Amino acid sequence: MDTKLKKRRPGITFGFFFVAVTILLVAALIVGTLWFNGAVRPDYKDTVSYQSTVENILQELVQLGLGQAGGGRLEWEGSNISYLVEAAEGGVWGANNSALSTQELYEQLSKGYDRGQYDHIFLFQDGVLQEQERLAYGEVSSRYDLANEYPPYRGLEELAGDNAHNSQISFALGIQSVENLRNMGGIYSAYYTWYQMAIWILFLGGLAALALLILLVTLVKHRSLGMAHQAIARGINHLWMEIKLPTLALAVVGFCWTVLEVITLEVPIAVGTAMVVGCFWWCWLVGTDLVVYGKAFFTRNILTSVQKLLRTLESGYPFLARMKRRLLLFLVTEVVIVALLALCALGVLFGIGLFAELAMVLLFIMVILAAVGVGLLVLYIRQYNQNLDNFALVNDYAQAIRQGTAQEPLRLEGDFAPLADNLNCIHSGISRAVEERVRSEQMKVELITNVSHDLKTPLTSIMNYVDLLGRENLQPDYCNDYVKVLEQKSNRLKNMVQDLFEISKANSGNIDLNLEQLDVVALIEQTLAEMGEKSGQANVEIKTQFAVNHLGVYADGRKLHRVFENLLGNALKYAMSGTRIYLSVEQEAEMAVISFKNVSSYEMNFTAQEIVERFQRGDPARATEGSGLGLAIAKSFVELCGGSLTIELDGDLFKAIVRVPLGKTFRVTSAQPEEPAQEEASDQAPTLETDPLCQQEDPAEDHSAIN
Amino acid sequence: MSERYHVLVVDDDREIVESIAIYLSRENLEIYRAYDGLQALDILEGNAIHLILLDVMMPRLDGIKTMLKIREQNNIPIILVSAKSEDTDKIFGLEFGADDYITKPFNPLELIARVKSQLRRYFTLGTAVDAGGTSEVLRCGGLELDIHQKRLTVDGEEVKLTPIEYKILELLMRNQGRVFSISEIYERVWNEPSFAPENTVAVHIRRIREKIEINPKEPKYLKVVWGIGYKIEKA
Repeated sequence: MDTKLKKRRPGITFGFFFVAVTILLVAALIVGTLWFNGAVRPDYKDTVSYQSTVENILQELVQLGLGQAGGGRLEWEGSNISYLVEAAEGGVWGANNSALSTQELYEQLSKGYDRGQYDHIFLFQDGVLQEQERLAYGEVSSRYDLANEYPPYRGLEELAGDNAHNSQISFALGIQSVENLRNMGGIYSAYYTWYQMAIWILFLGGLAALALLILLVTLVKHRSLGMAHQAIARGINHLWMEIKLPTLALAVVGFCWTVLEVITLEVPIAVGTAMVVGCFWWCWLVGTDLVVYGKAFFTRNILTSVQKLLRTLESGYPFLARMKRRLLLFLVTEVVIVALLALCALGVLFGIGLFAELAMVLLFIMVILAAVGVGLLVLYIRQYNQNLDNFALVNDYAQAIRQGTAQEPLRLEGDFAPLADNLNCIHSGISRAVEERVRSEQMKVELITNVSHDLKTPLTSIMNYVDLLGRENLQPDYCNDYVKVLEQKSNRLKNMVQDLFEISKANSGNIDLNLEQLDVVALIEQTLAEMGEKSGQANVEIKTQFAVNHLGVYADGRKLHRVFENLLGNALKYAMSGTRIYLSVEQEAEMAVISFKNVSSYEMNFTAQEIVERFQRGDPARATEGSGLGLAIAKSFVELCGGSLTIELDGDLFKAIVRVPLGKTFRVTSAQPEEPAQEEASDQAPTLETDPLCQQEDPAEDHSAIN
Repeated sequence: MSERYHVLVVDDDREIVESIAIYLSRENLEIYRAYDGLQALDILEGNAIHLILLDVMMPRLDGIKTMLKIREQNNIPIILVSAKSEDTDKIFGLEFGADDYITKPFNPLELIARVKSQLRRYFTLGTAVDAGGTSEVLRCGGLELDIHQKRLTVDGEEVKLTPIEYKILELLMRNQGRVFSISEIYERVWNEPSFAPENTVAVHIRRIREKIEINPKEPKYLKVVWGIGYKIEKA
């Protein structure tokens, strides 16, 4: 309800504004017309009708004095005036009172005038208007200067001038004051008309005052009024400029012309007023449009509309078809224009002698045609240019999307707008997907960290108390064995939690890789040394076969160490007692190949695929130590370093083959044939020099970053 | 030890605090318990504490913030005990002023060893700074290698080394922070050119680590640079 009212409010305000302005306009027009035509004056004796009535009376009096009128009495007006006419030959010709001469009557009238009985008195003696007094503007009395302030009545001079006898005419005339007027005659009707006019004017004045008040109120509510005007401008703006401008000029001219016509009473006042109001409001509305829209007022024209129409007609076609059609249309139009030009030229050539006027017209048409043709060309080239610019923008934008540097969506007008829109959609889709993935990855890592923390904390207590229990001498004795089992299992649980954490991190890709040049042979030596006691425990011998003494790879040392540790641990765990584990390092194309071979102590009834799955164990009973994640972790880590882990099963022979990409310097020299292993003694010195590791060792600071 | 050292154990898990307390009180240490950072700060205010075992993830005030508060006025050893086992977590903790970092779940014996090591270093060795001016002593953290007497002490306790082990350690300690490849170590210690990759060097290094490190798996001094060589971390 409230919103409805609010919506309607600008309309209501504008309605009041419209009514108020219209009333003021009409009132001003009516009052102006009445004033200009003398129908309205503050004093009724200034009105045209009073003046003409008095004129008539005076003429009649003159006629009476000349003896041209019959009867010797003024029949019609006699009741509202006192008069006495002396004939040209002397003697009273006619009177409606008892005075004996004009002089006497004039004196009587003057006295009466002083007492307010008469409004207007005249003394006409010997053909000249001698005295004239009239009550003006509510004053009790005032004497007028005959020459300036009260012009002589039209016709008196003429009468006096034309006739020789006129100079002998004398009369006195007094017009009754308003209170004494009788309801008859021209004087009364002049007064009555004035009286009615006055009432109308008062009414109009009141209306105008009211309108003014309303106008003030609407002006106070200028925001609402402004909104109304905006809405009007929106509406009017749909019209073409070609319509608005001429009609605006027409309305301005029509307004002025009609006002003049109405004032001079050339047209009926009702029709004139309607026209004036109409013209005024049309000017106002178009002016509003002009003020609100400014430049846009002019851009809404037939040309742009035609362009728009063409564009909507084109929009159904695919891009290429659209471009082709546009080119075709342009070419056809140009051809037609050129043809028409040629035709006109022919017409001019052949018709110039015979019809000069026709030639002029044709020349004019030619100029217009040429202008249209050139304009079309310019338009086409401009559009082509703009399309090229837009194409460049779209191109750059696509590049930016690819590089992930695109920020704001691309907004284009014209033929490339749909393409830009599509790219925007793709971009926002991509960024949304990326954002979601990043968020889910973060959540995953957080989850892993939290779960691992939540598992480790109770595990700490379990391990500590199991250890404390293990230190006690429990009764009965076998309880000590129980505690030992607890100790073993909690240790295993600890390892599993750590492995689980690691593999989850590796698989979620959220792991810090520290890739560097390193010697894979040295790494294996180190691993073997670190696992010293373990390999000693098992009744298994480890045989190493290094094809080269040094083999540089580009990998993360810690991760690769973990891989070898796991694979070696695996081999030690499952190798048959008394057999040998073969560990070999070779160079194969761009890869370093490290293989672990052992003979399994049990039947391997699983595939190579299954064994690297998470939680897969060689022995289904899961009796041995370990988390079952060893191979899965090794595979993940090798893959993180850009290598691969393959498992091969051949009867009881278990082969794990790690492939890691070679370091840069080795890649360069890899074209040379491999050094045979037998020559190691003599080759030692030169290989040391070319070894990238030796070069790396010199700046000690470089290595502080490694750990 | 003439007097009992006072150790403050801070962890939001009461059982862990209790188990640590049991282990440490067997080592003749006086135990104070706190279950969050604010409690720890309170206890620290009213008591003379010599060492703090501090959990990182705790309610109210976490371990790192507590440590920063303590470090504003106190210089006693702080060992962080946390389930966060990432390298970045350890580096972060040590950078912010911890003296050591132990990850949960821990080996109780290792914990005891680390606590005792810190106490020894802080109270018995802290003041005795290089009294003998004539003897050349190489130092790295708690490691002290006397070149003249050919003696090695770790946190004040003498460690027996074989001549080869001694030579390797001297080489590494003279060049702290520098990484030596296996063949380089071999050439400089054995004084003969290395032809094949020498497994012996790696084995010797492991033995040295077992002697000088509390937890050889997570070495503090003698570090393995995988695939490159070995180095002694610059203290």
